[in-house]
Order: sequence, then C-alpha cells, then structure tokens
Amino acid sequence: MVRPDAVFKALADPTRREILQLLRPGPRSSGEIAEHFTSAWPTVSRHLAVLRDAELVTAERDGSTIRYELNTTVFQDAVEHLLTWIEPGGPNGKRNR
Amino acid sequence: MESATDRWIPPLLIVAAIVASMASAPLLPAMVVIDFERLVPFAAGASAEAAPRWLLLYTAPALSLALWLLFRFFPTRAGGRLARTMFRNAPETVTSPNQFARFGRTYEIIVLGVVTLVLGVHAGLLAAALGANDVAMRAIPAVFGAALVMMGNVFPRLKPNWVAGIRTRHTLAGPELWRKTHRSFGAAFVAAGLVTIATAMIAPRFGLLVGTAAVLAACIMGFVVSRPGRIVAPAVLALVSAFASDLSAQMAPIAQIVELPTPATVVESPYDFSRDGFVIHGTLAQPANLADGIPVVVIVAGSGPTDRNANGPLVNTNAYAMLAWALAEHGIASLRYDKRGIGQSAAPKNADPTTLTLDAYVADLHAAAQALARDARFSSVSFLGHSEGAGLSIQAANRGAPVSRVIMVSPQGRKLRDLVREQFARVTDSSTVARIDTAFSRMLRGEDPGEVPPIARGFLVPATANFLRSFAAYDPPAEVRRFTGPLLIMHGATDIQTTMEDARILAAAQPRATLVELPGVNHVLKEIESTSPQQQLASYRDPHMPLAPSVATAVVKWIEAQQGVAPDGSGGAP
Repeated sequence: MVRPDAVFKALADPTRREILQLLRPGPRSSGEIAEHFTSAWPTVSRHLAVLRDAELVTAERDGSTIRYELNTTVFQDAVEHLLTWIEPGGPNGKRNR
Repeated sequence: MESATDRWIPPLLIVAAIVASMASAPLLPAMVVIDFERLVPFAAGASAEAAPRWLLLYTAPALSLALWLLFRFFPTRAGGRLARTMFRNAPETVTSPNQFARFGRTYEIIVLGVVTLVLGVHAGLLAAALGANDVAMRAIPAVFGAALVMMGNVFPRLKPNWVAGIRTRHTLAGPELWRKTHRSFGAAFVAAGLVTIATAMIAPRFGLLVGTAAVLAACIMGFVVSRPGRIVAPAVLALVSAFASDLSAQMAPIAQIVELPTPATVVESPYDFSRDGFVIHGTLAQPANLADGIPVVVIVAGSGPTDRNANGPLVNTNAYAMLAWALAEHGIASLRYDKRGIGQSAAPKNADPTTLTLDAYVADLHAAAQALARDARFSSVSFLGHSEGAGLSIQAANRGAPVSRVIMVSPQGRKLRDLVREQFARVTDSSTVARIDTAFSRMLRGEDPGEVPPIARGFLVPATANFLRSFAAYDPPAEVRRFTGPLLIMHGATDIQTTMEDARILAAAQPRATLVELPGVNHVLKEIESTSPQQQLASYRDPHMPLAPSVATAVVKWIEAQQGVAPDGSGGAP
C-alpha cells in the first residue's frame, strides 16, 4: 500500500498536477508529456516517477514507448482539485500568468 | 500478485464471521425473532415470524464465501471462457484473464467491498438478535455506506472488464468511454456512500432506505453517462473516417484551426482554376531557389471537409502543407486546393447540395491538370491523392486528365459498400450492420432509405444520396487495373482507417504498380507506432506534429527515378 504522505507529496507539486491534468482526457506517451513542458526530459521523467510511485499514474509499455495513464481515485481527485484551488493565484494562476 | 495482503482480508473476514456465528449460537434460542422495526422507517411485518437459528447464523457467511469464490474464479482461464460466451461481442482483451492483472489491487478492493457489504449486514443482524439493537441500527447502514465509499473510490482505476463496473457494449468496446463513465460513476458511488453514512448517524431508521436509493441513483447516473455519442459525420465521407463510437463522442469540432508559416525555402502563391465558371482556389508551392522546368504534383485532399492543408472541423494536421514544403525542398512544385464546397472554394449559398457528386470532384481535378499542363513552368504533372483523393486521382487519370503519373496514398482498396460494412461492424452489432446495409442499398437504388439506425444517421443523409451513389459506383481495383501509366501506391502500416490490405488489393490489381509500405505511419501521414484509437486521434488534431519523413522521401525518390534523375536526397540543387 502506498503511504498517504507519498500521495500528498506527489500532489503538492503544480507541475505534477499539470501532468495529471494532461492525462485526464486519456493516456499519453512519455514523449507527448515531455512536449508540453519547457523543462528538460530528466525533470519531467523524475516527476513521472514520483507520480508512478504514488500510484497516481500507471505506466505501460506500448511498443517502443511508455504509455502513462491516469490512476487516481475519487478522493485523490478531490485532493488534487483542492490543492489547485488553494494555490496562490487560484487555479492555473501560477503557470499561465 | 502484488496485492497479496489485500487478497486474504476477505477470507479472514469470512472466517471471523463464521467464528462469531458459532460463538453466538449458544446464546440464541433455536428459533429467533429479528426486530426489523428500527432498521426501516416503516412497519416491517415479517419480524414476528421466527426463523431457525442456523439461517440467521450462516446465510450471510455462506453467501459471502460463495461470492468470494466466484471472484477468485473470474480471472482464471475457465472464467475467461465463461466471459467469452457471455460477452460475445466484446473485444478480446476485455474477457482475457490477463486484463485483471492491470487493475489487480482495485479488483481486490472491490472483492473486499462486496464481502464487507454482506458481512456488515450479517454483523448487524447478529447484534440485533443478541439484543444490541442500538448498535445494529447504526452499524448496518454505516458499514453499508463505508463499503460503497471504499468501492466507489477505486472505480476510476478499473480497466474495461466483464466483472466489475458499468459493462455495456459501448463501454467495453471503448476504453475512452469506459474511463469517463467510471470517473463519474465512482464519484457518484462515493457520494452515495457518504450520504448513507451520514443518514446512519443522523436518522438511523432511514439509513438502509436512503443507502439503497442512493446506490440506485448512482447506477442510473453511471448508465446515463455511459451512452456513447453519435458517430459524427458532418460530411458524407467522414464515414471513411468513422472511428470507434467512443472516439467520435469526443470528436467535438475544432474551434481554432492552427496553420503553420511557410518556410523560407519555399515560395507560395495563390493558384486558382475554374470549371464550368466555378472557381476553385489553391496554393502553388515552389522551391525558392528554382525556377522552371520542374515537375509539379497536384495534392488531392482526402475525405470529409478537409481543406488544402489537411485541416477542417475534424482534423488539423497540416499534413498536405508539410508535404508540399518537403517536396519543394527537393525541387518538386505542388498545387494543393480546397475542393468544391470546402474552404475558399465554398459553394454559393443557394447551391443545391444534391448536385455534388464524386464525378464533380473528378472533373475538377481534371481541370487542375489541364491548367498545370498548359503552364510552361512545369516539366510534368503528377497526381498525389490521399485517401478519397487517391480515388479521385486514378479516376481523373483514367478519364484522360493530362498527367504523367499517379501516386495513391492511403487509398481505399474496396468499394464503399464493403468499407461501410466493415467500419460499422467495428463499432456496432451485426444486426445493426445488416439494417444499415439495407438502408444503404435502398438509398443507392434511389428509394427512401426507411428506418436508419441512429449510429448511421450522420452518414446516410438523404440530401447526399447522389454523392453516395457516385461514390458507391467507384470500384478501386477495376480503376487501378485500367490505368497503365506509372503508378505508386503508398500506405502507412499503422493506418486504422484504410489498411495495408487495401493497398495490397490495389497493387495486386495492377502488376506494374509500385507498392511502398511506410512502417509506423498512420492514415493522416504522421508517425504513430500505436494503433490505439486514442493515440491515433491525438495525431489527427495536432497541427504541429511533423509529417512522417518517409512519406515525402518515397514520393521524391519515385518521381526522380521516373525522370531518370539520380535521387540526391538533399535540398534540390539545380
């Protein structure tokens, strides 16, 4: 079982929450996720590892790429939304300014 | 299995329940009376009736044991065979025993939830029989609610399977719809559980009633959400792009089409031509460093309301623009145009849609070839038709359009009728396909189609009957057989609309044709290894994703070989 603090730690970071948002419509490959961020691949990769360890996403091999899929529960979704709302600047305020 | 600990909690609970029952047995009379009065908000008459002790003590544990054994049986190979007989039309993966491993822990939580529900009720009844009514009346609905919360919480993690969740034909066939459904269903289930727990605390007598009603409401909501959207087919030929219904549900029209700037190495200018007084607008792309005496290729767009750049309300790939630029960089000019009725070549407002046929498109292409053949800047004219455009190209060439060669990219290899059957068979059941087929035949004979199944209503539109008729008459292998000029047939290996099989059928019909398979290229000419509809769809709507390089390379090599020029593969030196 994943410890709850691992989940909270994973959800506390806005970039990681953004990855979760990105996966909301459907699974994406690591390349597609990386494309959405200006940061270097190792950084994105580290975020993905944290999300995977917290079991907020699942990773499945699909041919030559890895496919990430959202794996949040109802409560984790609620916490994610809550954290987004209490973020200074409101939802999306931090990144899209 | 990683979830070894979760896995053994339900049997332990069952054993504990049996032990509790055995321990309670000496404390109870042989015949027991259970007081239901305080569990429901109305008079429960049956409570006066006494029941044998063993019935109360062992019914629920036996039931939970049976359920638990069933849950253990479902993921086995024998379970898979049972599933196959129950869900004959579901995709193979859904009934495969391996599918359970993809959500193993979630499955265990649901097993635990079900066992807890049954044993929770058992514990309450036992407490009531032992005289601890106050505990019972609160405990039963509270445990009930807690089990709902526990299960609902993990519903979003379920993968399409035949045991747990909202299992309709559509959700099982479409992972996208499955996900969407279970996200909402899970939230509704959790809400139902919380409402039940709250009621158990505040008004225990209403707990079970409210809980049952809330679960029913959550299930109804789940089924409502799981209804698939209609196949979106705003133009007749979006059919040839008819995806699985779960995808079309999210195929909302693209609000803002993104176009890309022309690279500096390419010079673009408007190029219009007309037929019967109707002007068709196009774009001529030429290498910036070359002037005259170069080949020109007419890029003929594919199906649906797709414009010269491969953009429209349903797709935004810029594939034709990217192809034109790649060709220009290799010294080949190109014309791409908005087909009659599309983009800048939109029909006048009072135009009669029933006059638009495939033959009109073929004649337009013929006119384009004539205009370019008269243009002294170009050494030869080739057609490069994509998807539906491939059919237009071969037909125009066979009807005498002045072209030196034809390139068919991602063509259909079978007649429309067969394609329709095959594409609908992928998304609906066989009796519906038969009904669609009947309606289609009636329409082709010029009769009223009668009752059209909802899934096909976007396709079998009476106003487009003439177009459909002209399209149904197109016989791809026969046309290819008739064409004796140089012919290149190219097809992407991960195309999920028309398939490699289509290309092979055409190549077999014309031994002189060159067949090129493009590994990892999909229908819209982008590099996609996966044939999963979701990933494919993303490439249909990504304006920046580059054209698969192998597409332009194959075209350039073939044209250069045709012209007796050694392929240089570089930037088109004079």
